Amino acid sequence: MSSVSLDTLKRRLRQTTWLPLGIMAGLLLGAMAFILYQERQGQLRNTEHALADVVRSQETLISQEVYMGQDQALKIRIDSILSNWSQKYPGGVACLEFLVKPPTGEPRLISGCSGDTVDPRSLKYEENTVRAGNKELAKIRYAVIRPTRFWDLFPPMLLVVLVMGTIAAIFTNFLLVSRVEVRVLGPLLAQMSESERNAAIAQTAQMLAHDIRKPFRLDRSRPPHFWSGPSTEPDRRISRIRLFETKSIHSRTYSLIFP
Amino acid sequence: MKNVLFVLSFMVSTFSFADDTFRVAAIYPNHTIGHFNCTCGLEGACITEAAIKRARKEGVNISFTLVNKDWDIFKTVEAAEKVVSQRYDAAVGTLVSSDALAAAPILESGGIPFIVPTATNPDITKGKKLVTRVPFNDGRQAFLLGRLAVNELSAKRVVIVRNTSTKYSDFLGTEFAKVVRKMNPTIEVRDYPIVEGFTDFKGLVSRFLTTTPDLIFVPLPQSQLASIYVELVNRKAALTMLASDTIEGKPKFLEMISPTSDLIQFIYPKHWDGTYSSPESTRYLSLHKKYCGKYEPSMTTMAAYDAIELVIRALKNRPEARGEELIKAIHSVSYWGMTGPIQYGTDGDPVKPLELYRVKGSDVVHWRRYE
Repeated sequence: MSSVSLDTLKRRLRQTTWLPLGIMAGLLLGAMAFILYQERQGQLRNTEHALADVVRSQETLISQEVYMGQDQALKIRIDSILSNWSQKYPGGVACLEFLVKPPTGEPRLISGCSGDTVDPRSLKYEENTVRAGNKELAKIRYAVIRPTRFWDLFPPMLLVVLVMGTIAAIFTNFLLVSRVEVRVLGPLLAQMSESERNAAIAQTAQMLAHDIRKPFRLDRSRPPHFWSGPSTEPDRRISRIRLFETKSIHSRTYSLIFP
Repeated sequence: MKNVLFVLSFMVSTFSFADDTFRVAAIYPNHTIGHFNCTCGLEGACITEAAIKRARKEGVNISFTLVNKDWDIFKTVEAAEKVVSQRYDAAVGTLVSSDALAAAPILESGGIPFIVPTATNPDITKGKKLVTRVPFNDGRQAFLLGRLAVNELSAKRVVIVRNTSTKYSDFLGTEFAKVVRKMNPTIEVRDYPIVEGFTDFKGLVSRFLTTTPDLIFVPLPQSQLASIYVELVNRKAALTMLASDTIEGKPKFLEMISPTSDLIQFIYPKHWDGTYSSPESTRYLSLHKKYCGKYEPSMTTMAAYDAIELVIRALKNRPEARGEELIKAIHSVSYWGMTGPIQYGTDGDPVKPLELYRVKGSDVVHWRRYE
């Protein structure tokens, strides 16, 4: 097992605490964006209803203008409705179309949009029929669109909150890691080092004891007549060798104990 | 048997009476619900009925039926369709050009002669054999007012505010601009089209005052005139405000403004000079007093009286005249009406002067006859 330094542990701790924080922040942001999107869709519906109400309130005037063939009035009315609507609901685009079917003359289309950023043909229109008695005078079609921009889902305030939250998260993470280092990792590592040292001393002592015991075991294994003095040449040679080994062990043991 | 013969003779006499009686449908409203400070045509219906009652006494076989036209052009259309379906011999009435324009084609195609008392748009009678009118038409009104603006009022920068929702205002404004440009091409003419229901008069007046006009032509209803006048007074504008024949009597809004601005010269034309100088006056006044005393004599009562009086006189001359013949008979009647002498021009409409009125202080005075 490779040894683990305190710095490595701190680094790994930071990495592992960032992951849940990031996931939580991402989920919160996603939820916020979804809520804002839903709210915008609701607003869009409301603005569409508002436009429909305005058109409906002017239906009598519109029908009279259609009946009398006052195309310029219809165009001015469309522009006026859209201009007021734009002032009231900035950011969106509304389009109005009057498909005029006067009692005399050809049917014609009078239309307008509050902005030129959309293609009127690509819109999904709501339709309303203007009648005089059982005669159809005109079809009024209206549509409202509000393109969703980045800032709509992630408004500046949310991003400011996000930046402040990130700063706070970094700070708390730093604080957490520091406290873990001081209160947990430091003592743990210190404890781990002492255990390792004790183990090493024990191993060394074991080796030492073995080395110390070895010459005495050799002595114990010598024949009984050895202690009565060397009688033969082989015995004397053995004695010299053992003496040399004993000296050698003595010097190694001394160097181990007093390095 | 006696009873059966009596019933049969009664039925025959009734049918013969019904066949001979000249049935007039008066297309006017029959109530003022939803309207404030307005007699709104009831006075026109009243004087028409009164004139028919007197004509019956004078031996003319004529009857009166009020056909309610209510307050929008679709109700007028319904009224006109009713007149056609019930085969009346003639229709008189409607008040403004929009109403008359809605009714005229229906009555024309239904073969019903139609005599219009106050509506002035040229399209009401243009190309129609069965429709005629009492007042001048707007071609003439625009010409005379244009000439007045150029020659008498010496306008140099003209602003025109026209209500494009109505053919009356739309035509008058456009035609007035043509006349002025034709008479003096150096005059600066600016056009400000609005619609019915327009409310931002503050912004409108601010916009057109930047062009420093010396005359504004406003062929608009009184409610819109009032809004413009108030804004002009607030801004201390010095100019001539020239209106058209939309004002009945004295402008109602002047009573609410105190003091009026002497910097604004407010001029408007009417069909009637406010006097009883016509040879017909005595007859009219006695009739008005007897039957319609609850209403003030006005431009509407005078015009409505002239309309039915033309029919009665034509019938007196040619009792059998119906359809186109009746219109021809009307055009051939020599009649000095309450709204002046009525002589029909080549376009089939009366050639009549404008009676110009001017606001002086908080009062209105007849200024001059202009023709």
